[in-house]
Amino acid sequence: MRQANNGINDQNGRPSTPSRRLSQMAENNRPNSPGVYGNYAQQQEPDTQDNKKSKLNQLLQVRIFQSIRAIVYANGTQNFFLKVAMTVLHTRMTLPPIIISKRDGTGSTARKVNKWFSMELDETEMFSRDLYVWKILNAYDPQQSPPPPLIIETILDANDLSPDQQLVVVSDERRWKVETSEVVIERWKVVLGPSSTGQPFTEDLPVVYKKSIPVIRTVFSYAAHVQLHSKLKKQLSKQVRQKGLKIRCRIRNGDEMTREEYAAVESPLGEGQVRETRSYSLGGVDCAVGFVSVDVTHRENCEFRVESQESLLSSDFMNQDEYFFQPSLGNRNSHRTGQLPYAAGREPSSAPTTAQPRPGASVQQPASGLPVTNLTTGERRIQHMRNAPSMSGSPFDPASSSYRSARESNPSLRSVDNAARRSSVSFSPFKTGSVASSPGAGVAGSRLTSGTSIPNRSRPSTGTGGPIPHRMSMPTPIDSSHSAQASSGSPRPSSMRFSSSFTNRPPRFSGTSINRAEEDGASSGRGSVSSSSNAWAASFPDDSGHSITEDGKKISELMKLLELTEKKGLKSFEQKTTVDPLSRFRKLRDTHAALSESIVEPLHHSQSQPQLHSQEQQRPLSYPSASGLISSLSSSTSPQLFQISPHTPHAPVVRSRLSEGLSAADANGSEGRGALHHRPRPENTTGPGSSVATPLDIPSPPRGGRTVSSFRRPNSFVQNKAVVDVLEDLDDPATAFANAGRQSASLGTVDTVPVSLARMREDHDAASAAADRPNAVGAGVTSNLAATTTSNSSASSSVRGRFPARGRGGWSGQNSGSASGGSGLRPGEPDDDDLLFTMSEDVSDPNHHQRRNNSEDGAGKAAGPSNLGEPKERPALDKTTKKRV
Amino acid sequence: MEHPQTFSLDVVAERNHVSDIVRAIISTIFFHRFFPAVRPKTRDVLDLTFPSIDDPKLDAQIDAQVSSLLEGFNNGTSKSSGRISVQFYEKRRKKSGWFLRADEQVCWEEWVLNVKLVSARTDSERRNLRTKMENQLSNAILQIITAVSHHKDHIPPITEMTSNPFPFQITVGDKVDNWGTRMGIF
Repeated sequence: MRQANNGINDQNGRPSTPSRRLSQMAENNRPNSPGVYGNYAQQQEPDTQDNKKSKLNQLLQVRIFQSIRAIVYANGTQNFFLKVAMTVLHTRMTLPPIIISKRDGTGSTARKVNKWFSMELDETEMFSRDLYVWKILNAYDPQQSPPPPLIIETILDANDLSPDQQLVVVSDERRWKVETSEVVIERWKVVLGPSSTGQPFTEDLPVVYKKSIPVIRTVFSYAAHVQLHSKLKKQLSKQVRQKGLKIRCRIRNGDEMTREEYAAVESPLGEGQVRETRSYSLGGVDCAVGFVSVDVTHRENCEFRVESQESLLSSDFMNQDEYFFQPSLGNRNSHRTGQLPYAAGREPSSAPTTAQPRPGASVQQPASGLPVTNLTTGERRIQHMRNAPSMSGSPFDPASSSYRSARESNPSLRSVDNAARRSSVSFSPFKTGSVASSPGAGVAGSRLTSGTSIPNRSRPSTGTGGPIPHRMSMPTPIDSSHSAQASSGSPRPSSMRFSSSFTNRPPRFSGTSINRAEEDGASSGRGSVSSSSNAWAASFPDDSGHSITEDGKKISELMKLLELTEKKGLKSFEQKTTVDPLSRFRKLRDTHAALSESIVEPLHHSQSQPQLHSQEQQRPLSYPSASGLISSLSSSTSPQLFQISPHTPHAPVVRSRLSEGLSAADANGSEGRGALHHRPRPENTTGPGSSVATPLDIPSPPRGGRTVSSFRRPNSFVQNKAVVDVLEDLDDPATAFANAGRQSASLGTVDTVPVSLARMREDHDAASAAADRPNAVGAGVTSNLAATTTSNSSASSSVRGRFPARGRGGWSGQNSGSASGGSGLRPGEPDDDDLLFTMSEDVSDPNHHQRRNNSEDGAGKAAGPSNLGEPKERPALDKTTKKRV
Repeated sequence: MEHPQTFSLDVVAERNHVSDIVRAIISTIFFHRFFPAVRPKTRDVLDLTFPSIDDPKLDAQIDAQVSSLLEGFNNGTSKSSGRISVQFYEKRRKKSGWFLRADEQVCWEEWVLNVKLVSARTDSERRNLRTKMENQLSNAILQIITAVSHHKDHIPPITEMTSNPFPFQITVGDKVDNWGTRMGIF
């Protein structure tokens, strides 16, 4: 012992002051140990003082001896804790030394050096407060109240990064956004545990000290050698200074840390990133008070970089593309009718999806709040994109969600929560702006609609309705052609498109429809609707009166434009239509039927696969067929059409609404639309080929279409319940948006959707569902619209045409009118539908009928969204039709 | 005679880096076995950081032996592998007869470093070799840390802290040939 003590003291240069420490020790021991003093007190009372004194002296001696040893041990333990901390800190940071004046009288100064455990390190006061708990370790009775674990964390501090900078970690050749502003790189832990031998004081001090030296040395060498220290330091040496990254350490009391905090070093930095940490035990020393051990856990991947948000954006898009395209894309592609829509869908969808994978984090960031502040414009864009996609792309979300983790869904949810309503507003400008900004907007809308519609379609089409969707697309093309003409003038052409489609049919009625359109911008929608169905006209006027109010002005403008275009287009159509539709139809049958068939077939094929080209081609081809269908429909209105129409109508309806929404958005920039528009924007931006999309514009219902698209997926996934509700809501698009009840209804539908999604997903169900729900809610409006659109569309194949009209007039009417109003609108729709159906059937060859029937059956039977929705939807439709009839 | 605790390390090194690598490993060994108070410092080799002692004397001794090892490589052109070992001794007071009280030095630990000289012909090989050398050097350092941190019971009692309590010897070749290279005194 003496040697040991002497050695220690000599080694450390710390004079041993037994007397002083004795008193301390005595004081320290009193409370903790019943030992000598307690006994002494007890003994004092009875026996003779001599005996007592003698015993006392003995006990005191023993106690003193033990106390000294305990102090030394405790001191050693204390210094072990502190030395480890100092060693780690010195390898990680530049610590300010403590300058002391030498006592040699020269007045020179020197750094205060800690020589414990044969390791000379400059003392510092930098962490003295944090280390206070372990500095007063002497006051403890280590065995009674062991000191808390000493945690030393090395942190990569990104708090000083500018908003346009993002900390990323490169893993698996991919960059992962680091969500937190403080990355715990490594965690050192010093713990005093029970003695390995179970007996205290088993080791003599020299031995303890001897063994402590290598442990401290290994702490230093490991800290120095760890890749983090060498590579990370080098990697960041430049960035740290240039880009605001800092490496710092912090001392934590292990007893005061939550499990999450303690495990922070092991938490993956990015969504889906593989955990890369290594734990290493540096061993320990058995000392008087237990086994003091040192462990370190550190990340192995230290490829941290600071990158600009812009670069990340681009990369995100790249990633998004990868993600989306892999699973969902295939489906989407297959479903999507046009390339443009596809492309459009890509960007928006991709944006959200891409955002989600890595972005997922980013998305979360907004939720967490940290990122939000940090988000640069680029990120915000991304978020918007994400939100927008989630909102508008809700259809995608389900798919994406299914593929992706709950987080993704969460983002969508968040988007719904945060963005949906907020973003809906904020987004609306975005989308609207994009939509409105470019004539292509119409195209974009068409894309959107097509893209959005695709989900629904895709589902139904996937089942069996494939052909129908094609036809649906067909009508759109027709519209597009019309719209294209109209579109040339303005984005609104969408309305024109609808009108055009109607004009085609109506030619018989065309006069009225056109007139109406001419009369009121709002009426234009009506006119289109009316045009589609004569009977519709009556209903439309009402509707128009209601709905138009909002869009009326814009619509009127559009109508004017449309009128110009329509007149041209209508004339051509009218001429065709003027002739008995049947006759035309018959004439057209051969050509159109052939075309339609050819188109349909490709469409079917295309459905399964990315058919952008096929669809595009088909569209033009479809025109005739569509026109023929329309004419036939107009000529013969049949309930069958409803069923059939539902498929085709869905898409068209959506589109029409979308187009309307676009137009409306352009003009009004309505919030609900805005949400829809959000998606469109990206699409618009994405698809310059909007010209093709113009047909999509027909979908002017696109609002609904957009919404539908977003909703569609959910719908498709969830099913049509939502659609039904939506359809009801659709009657009043405005109401759908405005009415909380409807929203709630839509939400409910949404919920259903998420549930389905949740089912699809296993793990993330709850979270994703919750997230989806919010999204759904946010998208709810759009979804409602979409659903309504879909329902309408489902109700009538002509819906497309109608929808445009409806979208404006019908919507307004719906809005103005409560459910009853919707029903009122619908009555007209059924007619159109009937007409459309009949048209389609009549026009179409038996093959077409078969196909449609098949499609219907398939759709109805198939799990396709249409099917799901159909049961409910159909009843609703039937109801509506009945009412109408 | 007690058998000293022996740790064996294997490294491959290109001729250009063999000196740095061997020096890094031996310095790391000494960092953990040089018990007098030291001021730690770090050195970098091949993008790796290893600890060392700020002790010029020790560095000079290590350099001398490493140079001896390299000479072996240079002399024997065909020789592509070598061995350098470090032994740590404890001083025991030898029980002797009447007069002589001699200190006996007993080896309590030995580190054997097997060095294999390799060469790269192409740039790609050179890159691969560099990676391999880094990995092996890193592994060697971790092995030293692990051995030191988990094998402490065989360390003899430290009887003096002012000077190095444990004489050491650095030898090149297969065996400890002579006492001339023993550096037992500080």
